[in-house]
Amino acid sequence: MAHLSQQDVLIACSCGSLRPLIKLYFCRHCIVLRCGYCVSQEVDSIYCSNCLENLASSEAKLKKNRCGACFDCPCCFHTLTIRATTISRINPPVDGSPTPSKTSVKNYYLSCFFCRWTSRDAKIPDKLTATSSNWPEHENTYTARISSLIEYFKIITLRERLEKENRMFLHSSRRGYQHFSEKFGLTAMLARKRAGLPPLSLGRDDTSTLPHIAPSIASEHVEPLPDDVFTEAIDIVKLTSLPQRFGIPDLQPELISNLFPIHKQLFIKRSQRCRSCLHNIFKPEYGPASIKFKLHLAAYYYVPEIRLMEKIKLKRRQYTHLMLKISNPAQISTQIQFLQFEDVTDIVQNNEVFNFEEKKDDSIDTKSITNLAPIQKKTYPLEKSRRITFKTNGKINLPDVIISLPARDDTAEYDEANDSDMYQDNPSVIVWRKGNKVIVKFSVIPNNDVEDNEDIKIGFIMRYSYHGKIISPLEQKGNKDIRLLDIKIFISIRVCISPTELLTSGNYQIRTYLGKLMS
Amino acid sequence: MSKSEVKIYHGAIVCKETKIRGDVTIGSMTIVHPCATIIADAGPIVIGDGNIIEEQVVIINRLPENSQNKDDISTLRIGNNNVFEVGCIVETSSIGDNNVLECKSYIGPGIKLGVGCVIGAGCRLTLPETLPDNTLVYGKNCIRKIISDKPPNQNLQREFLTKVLPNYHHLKKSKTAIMQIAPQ
Amino acid sequence: MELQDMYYNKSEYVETASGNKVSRQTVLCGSQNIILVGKVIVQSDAIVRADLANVRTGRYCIISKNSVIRPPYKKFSHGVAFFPMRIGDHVFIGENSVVNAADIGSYVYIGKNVVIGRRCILKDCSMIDDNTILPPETVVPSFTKYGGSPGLCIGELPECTQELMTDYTRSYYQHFIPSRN
Repeated sequence: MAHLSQQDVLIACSCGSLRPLIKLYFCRHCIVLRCGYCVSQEVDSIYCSNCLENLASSEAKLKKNRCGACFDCPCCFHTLTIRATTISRINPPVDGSPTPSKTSVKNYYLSCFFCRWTSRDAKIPDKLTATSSNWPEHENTYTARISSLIEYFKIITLRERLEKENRMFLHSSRRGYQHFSEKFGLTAMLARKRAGLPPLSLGRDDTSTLPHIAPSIASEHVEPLPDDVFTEAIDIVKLTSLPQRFGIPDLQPELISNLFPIHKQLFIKRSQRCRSCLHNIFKPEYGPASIKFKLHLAAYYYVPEIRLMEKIKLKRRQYTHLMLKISNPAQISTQIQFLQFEDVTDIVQNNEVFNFEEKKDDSIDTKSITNLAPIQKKTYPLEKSRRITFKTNGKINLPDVIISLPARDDTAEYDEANDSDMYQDNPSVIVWRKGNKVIVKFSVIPNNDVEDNEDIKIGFIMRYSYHGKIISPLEQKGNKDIRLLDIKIFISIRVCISPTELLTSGNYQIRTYLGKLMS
Repeated sequence: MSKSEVKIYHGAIVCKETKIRGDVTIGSMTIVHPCATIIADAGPIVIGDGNIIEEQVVIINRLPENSQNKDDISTLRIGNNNVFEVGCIVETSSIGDNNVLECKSYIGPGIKLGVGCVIGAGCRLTLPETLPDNTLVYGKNCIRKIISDKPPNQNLQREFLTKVLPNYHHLKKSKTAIMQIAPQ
Repeated sequence: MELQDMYYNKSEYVETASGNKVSRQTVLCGSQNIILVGKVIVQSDAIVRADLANVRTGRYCIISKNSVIRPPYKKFSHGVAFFPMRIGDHVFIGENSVVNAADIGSYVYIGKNVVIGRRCILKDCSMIDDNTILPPETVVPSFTKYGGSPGLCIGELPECTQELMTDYTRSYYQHFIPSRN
C-alpha cells in the first residue's frame, strides 16, 4: 500500500503545499503544478454509491442530497438490504367451502447484514412489494418553520442582489447578465427591467410582499426530568451512541428502538479547473461506473517521476549512495538536470528551513479572462502562496550531468534490446537505463545533529525541459516552445521501520502455533 | 498423525485435504470443507450433526499454556447445525446449536456459545464468558445485542454441498464400525 | 518506493505458457473451472474454490499467501446457487484475505487480512484498506477507499489510480522472480 500512496517523495505545488506526484495536476496553459487545494472543484455528476444511479442536480437538491431508494443502517451505517419473508395467512372460511383456505404472502422489510438491525425494530410495517421506494418517512416537526425561513431568506437574497445590480448598473455600462445564476430566477426579471417593462411583483420597492415570519421566542419553561431518572438503572444496550444520534439530526433519538433508516448520502464526481486560467484540468466521464476521463492533466503524465529504489541505511558523517529511479511519462523526450536550492535565485535558505514564495503570475490579467467564453466568466479567489516548510536534516550531493530521457513508449516493455549504448552515460552516475527510465546514483549525508531513528529529509530541484506546445487545431504546427521547469523535490528516507509494518494479523500467533504442530 | 480415532458418521462429508488429529467425532450430515483443521490434543472433540465447517477453520482443543497437568481431559462439544465460516478459530469447550461464526472470528478458551448466536466477521472474543442465546457480536469493538431474527437455516446450502463436493474432492471415509450401524 | 525483488523457489512454482505463476502449495479446487487469463500470480497456501462456481481472473492479478477466493452463494426459495466470480485486470489481493465478492472490477487493491462479504461488488479503481470487514452486498464505487468494520468510505483515490495499479501489478510481476540458486 505504501507503493500506492507514495509518501516518500513529495513535490512542492505552485501554491506551496507538499504533495506526492500522484495527487498533483499540471496546468498546460499556465505551465505550473496545481494541487487539490489550489484548483476549483466543480460538481460534475451526482450519484448514489449503492445503486449507482445518476441524479440531476435539481433532483438531488430536492432530495437533500440523499438517494430515494437506498438506505443506511441507523445502527452501524452499513447499507440496508431488502429481505423477503413468506408469511402464510389463514383466510376465514368463505361461504360454500368448509375448510379455511391458506395463502402465502411475501413480505419485504429492510435488514442490515452487519448488525442485523431490521425495519421491524423501528416498527415500520412490512411491505408487500419489493420496490425500493415508498418506505415510510418520518415527519420532521419543524418542516413548516424551516421552509418559511428558507422562503424568507430567499427573498432577502434576491433583494440584496437587485440592489447591488442596480448600483453596478448605474456605475458601469451595459454588461452581460448571464453570470447571475439561475438559482433565484433572476434572468427573466432582469430582462424585463432592461426592456423597460415594469418590474414583476418582486420589485425592490414593495416591502409588502415580504412574508411574515414569527421570530423564535426563548422560553424559560423546561420539561422537568422524569421521577425515575435517578432510580431507574440505565440499560446501555438500549441507548444510542452519539454517531447514531447525529446520523438522524432531526430526530436525535435516545433509544435504539426509535432509530429510523437513513437515506443514503449521495456521492459526486468532480471536475477540476485551474483558478487562474480557468481551463479545465480534469473532467471525468459522466457515468458513475466509468473510470474514463474526457480530460486529465495529472502531473503523473507530465512531470518526470522520481522514486526511491531501496531502503538504505545511513551512517553518521559518511556519504551513502542513494539510488533514484527517474522515468519520463511524457510523449516527448526530456532533459533533466539537478540543482541545489542555493543555485536558484528565488529561494532563500534560512536556517535549514527553505522559505520561498512563488512570484504571482501577472501575465494573466483580467483581459485574458474576459476573452473566454461567458460561461467561464466566473471569478475564483486565487489561493495565496504559502511557505514551504520542510525541515531538511541531510545533504544530498547532486551529479553535475544532464540526463536525456526518451519519450514514454508502451511497446518498449516487450522490447528486449538494450538501448543504453545510444547514450553516452557516465556509468558512475547512471547505473541503469531502459526505455524512458534511468537509475541515477546520488549520495546523501545526514546532518550531525540528527537523532537516532529520525527520518532523513533532503531536498533539491529537478530542472527539466518541457515541450509546452499544446496541440490544438487552431494553433500553427511546428512552433516549438521548450521551457525549463523547476520542480522542488523533497524526499524523506525512512530509517526506522514504521510501526504499521510490525503489526501482524490477529490470527497470526495461532497459525504459527499450528505450523509448529503440523510440521 | 493418528487418524484411527477419527469417527465420521454416515452422511457426513469430510474432504481429504482436511487436517484432523486426535480423538475427533464428526456427526452425520456435517460438511467439512478442504483445508479445515481439527485438532484434539487435550481431549476429544465431538461435532454434532448438520454443521458446515469451511476452509481455513481451526477447531482446536488444546491444553492451556500454563497448565502442565496432562491428565486434565476436557471434551470440546459442538452441537448441531452450526456454521463455521472461512478462517474462524475455535478454542472454546462448548458450542450449542444453530450458531454462526463468521469469517475470521475467534472464540477463545472458556467462551460458551448457547443457541442461535452470531459472531460477526473479524470479532475476537478472548475473555471467558457465556453468551446468552441469540446474541450477536459485531463490529470492531465486539458490540453485543440480542437479535430477534434467528440465523438462517443452512439446510439448502448443505444439500447443495453434499451433491457438489464429492464430484471434486476425495472424501475421508467413515470408519467401518459406524458405517455398519448407520445405513438401514 | 520502487518494489524490491521477491524471490521464490523455482521448484515450488509452475509457470504456464501464458505467464501465470502458480504455487504448488495452493489448493485450487475444481481447477477446470478456473480461468487465469495470463501473468497471474497465485502464491502459496491460497485457496481458490472453483468447485463451487467458476472463477475467472483478468491479466496481472496477484493472489497473495493464505488468501481465499470463494464464489458467493445466494439462497432462493427452492435452493442455493453459487455465483461465478469475475475478477478484472490488475487486481491485488493481500495476504490472509477472504474474498466472497460477486464481481471485482479492474485496478482494485484489496489489503491484508480483509474479509469481503458475500456478493459484494467492487467497482474499477477501488481500494479496500487492511483489516477491513466488508459486510455482504456492499457496493464499493470507483475511486473510493473503504476501511473499518463495517467497511465504510474512508477516503478517495487519486484520479490516476488506473496507471498506479497497472504499474504496481506489472512491476510486482516483474519483481517476482525465481531465486538464483
